[in-house]
Amino acid sequence: MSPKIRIKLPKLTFWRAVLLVLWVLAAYVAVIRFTKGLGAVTNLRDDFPWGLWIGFDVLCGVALAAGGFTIAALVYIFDIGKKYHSITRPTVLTAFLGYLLVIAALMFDLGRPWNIWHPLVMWNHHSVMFEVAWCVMLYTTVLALEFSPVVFEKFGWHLPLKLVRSFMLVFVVAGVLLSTLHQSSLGSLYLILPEKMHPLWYSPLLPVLFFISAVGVGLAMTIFESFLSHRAFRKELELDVLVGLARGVILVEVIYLTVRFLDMINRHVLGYAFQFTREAALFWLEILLMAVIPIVIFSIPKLVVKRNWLFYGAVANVLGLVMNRLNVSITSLERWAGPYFPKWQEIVVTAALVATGFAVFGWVAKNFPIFESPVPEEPEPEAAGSEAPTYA
Amino acid sequence: MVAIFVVLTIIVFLTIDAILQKREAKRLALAGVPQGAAPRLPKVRVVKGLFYAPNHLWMKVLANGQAKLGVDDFAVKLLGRIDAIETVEPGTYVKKGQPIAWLKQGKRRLALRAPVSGRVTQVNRSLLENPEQIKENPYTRGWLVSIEPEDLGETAPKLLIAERAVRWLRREGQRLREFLGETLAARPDVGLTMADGGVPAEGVLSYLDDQAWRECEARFFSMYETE
Amino acid sequence: MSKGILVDISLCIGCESCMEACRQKNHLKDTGEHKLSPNNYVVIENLNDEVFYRHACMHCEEPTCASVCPVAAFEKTKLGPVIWHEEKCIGCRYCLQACPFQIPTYEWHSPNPRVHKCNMCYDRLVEGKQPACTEACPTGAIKFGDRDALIAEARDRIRKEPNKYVHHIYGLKEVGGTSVLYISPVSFEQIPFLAPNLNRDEPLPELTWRVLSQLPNVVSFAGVALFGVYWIINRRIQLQKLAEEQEEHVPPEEDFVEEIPVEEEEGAKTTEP
Ligand code: SF4
Ligand code: SF4
Repeated sequence: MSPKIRIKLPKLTFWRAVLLVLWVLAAYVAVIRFTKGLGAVTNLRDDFPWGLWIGFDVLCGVALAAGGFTIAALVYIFDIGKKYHSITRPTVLTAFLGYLLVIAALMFDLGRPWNIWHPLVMWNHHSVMFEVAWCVMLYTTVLALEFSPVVFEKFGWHLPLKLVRSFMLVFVVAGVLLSTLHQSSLGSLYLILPEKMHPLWYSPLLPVLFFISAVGVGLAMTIFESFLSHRAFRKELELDVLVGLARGVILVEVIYLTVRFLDMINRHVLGYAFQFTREAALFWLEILLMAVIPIVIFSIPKLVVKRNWLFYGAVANVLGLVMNRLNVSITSLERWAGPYFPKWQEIVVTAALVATGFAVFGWVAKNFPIFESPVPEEPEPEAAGSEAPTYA
Repeated sequence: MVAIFVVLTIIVFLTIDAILQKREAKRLALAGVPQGAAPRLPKVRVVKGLFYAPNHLWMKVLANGQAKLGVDDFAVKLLGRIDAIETVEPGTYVKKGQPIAWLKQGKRRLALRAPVSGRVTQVNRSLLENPEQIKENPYTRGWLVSIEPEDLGETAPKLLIAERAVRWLRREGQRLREFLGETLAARPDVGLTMADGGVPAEGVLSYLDDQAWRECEARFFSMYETE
Repeated sequence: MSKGILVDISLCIGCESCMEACRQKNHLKDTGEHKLSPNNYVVIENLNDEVFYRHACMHCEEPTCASVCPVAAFEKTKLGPVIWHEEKCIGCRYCLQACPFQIPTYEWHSPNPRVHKCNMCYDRLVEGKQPACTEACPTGAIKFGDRDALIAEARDRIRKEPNKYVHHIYGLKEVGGTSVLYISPVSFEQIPFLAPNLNRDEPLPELTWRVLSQLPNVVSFAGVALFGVYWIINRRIQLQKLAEEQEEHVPPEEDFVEEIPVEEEEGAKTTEP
């Protein structure tokens, strides 16, 4: 039995048309960017050197991929019920694609992307960026390994399958550690800007806050994805699994709120939140979306068992997280460096990358067994050689 | 501002997607296609003491060395409606992999290929006259043909029996689910019906278009074709 | 011996000779713009037509730029200058983001962009000469020398004219000390690029190092904890399994496959020819 990957010419649906347009535009932007420099396609400047590509593509991309390690930890290490097994693969896939997209975004954003390997040999262990670079590299590898059984299964490669499976626990532990490190170190990146950042967001606890919110959004993203793939692939939504995740979100966000507000009170900056400023408004919107709305929706028993409401709660959390990362990376610096708004080229590249992620996810979901629980490990009759029934 | 902009963009995209999905659902509803979630499979009966060929034929070996062939419950459940059954004539010699019987549903035909070579000795006339019988019990009154196999010693060990047959059928269930998932994803307009929504769980194929039928035949019933 | 520059704001007349000298030494174009850029490593800012001050790299003792750069493209030399190694840079621009004095600038319109900033004419220093700007300054508002000697001189000037100067040497302790020192007749609060870090004596790299230095601990603790949790939970599960196996094994309710009985030999009789 050697299943083949079927490639058919796809029908031109609305989203495919959007994807196509975005690709064309992004290709154009790429050409300009690599011939005329970053300034030609971005609104970045000396006092605003990190814009949408870092703020959204990298910070949000990494955070939204947190489902990979959250769920892996839940399933493999804490072994919270077999029922979560069915969602490990889609989440690992999402995480893997997420990281690939982050790297793709970096190829646009780095001034000299051809030197991207330099951190491998040129070490500066005092640099948070150095740590982030290593974690991203290692974790992307780990994610590839975690996902590899799906590919091996598909093509019936039993030896590598066995090999990878026997090391799975090591991968998972490594993955959880690496994620913990660099989810938080994305927050640490900003520790060095105490004077430039708005006090509503600058905090010595940034790494902790980044980590907690990443765990929360990891769970929420899993709900979100599972809803979308349910619609796209009619894969059944395991409601009890999702409700369990929603409970997790409540717990995490309550912890987040506690840490965040206690920290603000201790640093005596809570007052900034009650001024009539743009920052204060954005701050409250962020808190509302990321924590308050999901907590409310998920703790109303009537709502949490309704698919739509589960989805709304998860979306609110995801949007809140996006706001938080952008507030940290952009809003909080605008007071000091003046306003920044991305050029259309920046937006197009970002949109194209996200759209590509969705498309690749769809393709993989169609052609690889990602929605099944892993096949049992006992040798199957087909695999047993001579006694196998004849399949063409 | 950037934060608001990005969040709004995401919301806009999600809304567009939701609207597109709604319109699609409406269109399908107008076309009379019921909507449902992932396919829920019907139960498939199995008799442990029979041999099963991977193309869903069962074989019962009689004491005199003859064998009775029939189609398994998986196939029956998959088709749902069976309008007619045809078999080769008694006395015909069939080689392994050649069609030995056909299940017909309207204009479509599903060829069932012999898992062994041999001469057909008898066909189940009463079933041919009354094809609905097969649904009742495909393993007894639903038998198709008797055959005098010539390579039984070689082929029988490659067939599945007892707990292996059960395991295999479970995996076939998985494959079917996979297949239906893909079919639905690729052609939402086909509109699959067995689902949460109180739609009959049996006879999936009768709701699917010809392309899906062919695809399904290739995946589940053609194992001997190329030999 | 660590070198440095003493900037005495009270002496600066805004003649911009230093800017011109810098451009010539570094072969920079005069683009007419008056801010730090790849064509201006030093800028003389006009505070109120009477007070002029120099805006250029402070050559921090513990440079933030060097600390944040993932590939260590910045180097604090023994002589004092903080210099940049082009061949290492990957262009992440963390240095621009992090420098507390907003010094490094970027070639935004180049396909192979470089970071630019004052390097205190490191090449001239190695040859035993002084930087081009200090050499060109007609009033001695910027003075090159050993950092220790310059500190002593700054103290001396303040002591001699206590009414002229604010009693503070900027860069003595700020962000852990800088090779470029400022004394001023106006409060440092008024000088935009110096104000934010006035009296912040802690080197900024400390802020991230505090977290980074914990990583080995975090990794080993968390690693052990994760394996431990796995071991404990799995043992419990194994025990549970054992207990379950001793009970009667009940087949799962929702089995896709259902076994049915067959009337024995019913078919055999009717089909025998
Ligand atoms: S002033 Fe900025 S660029 Fe100059 S050494 Fe200090 S941190 Fe680096
Ligand atoms: S832009 Fe270059 S010099 Fe600046 S921190 Fe990044 S790699 Fe280092």
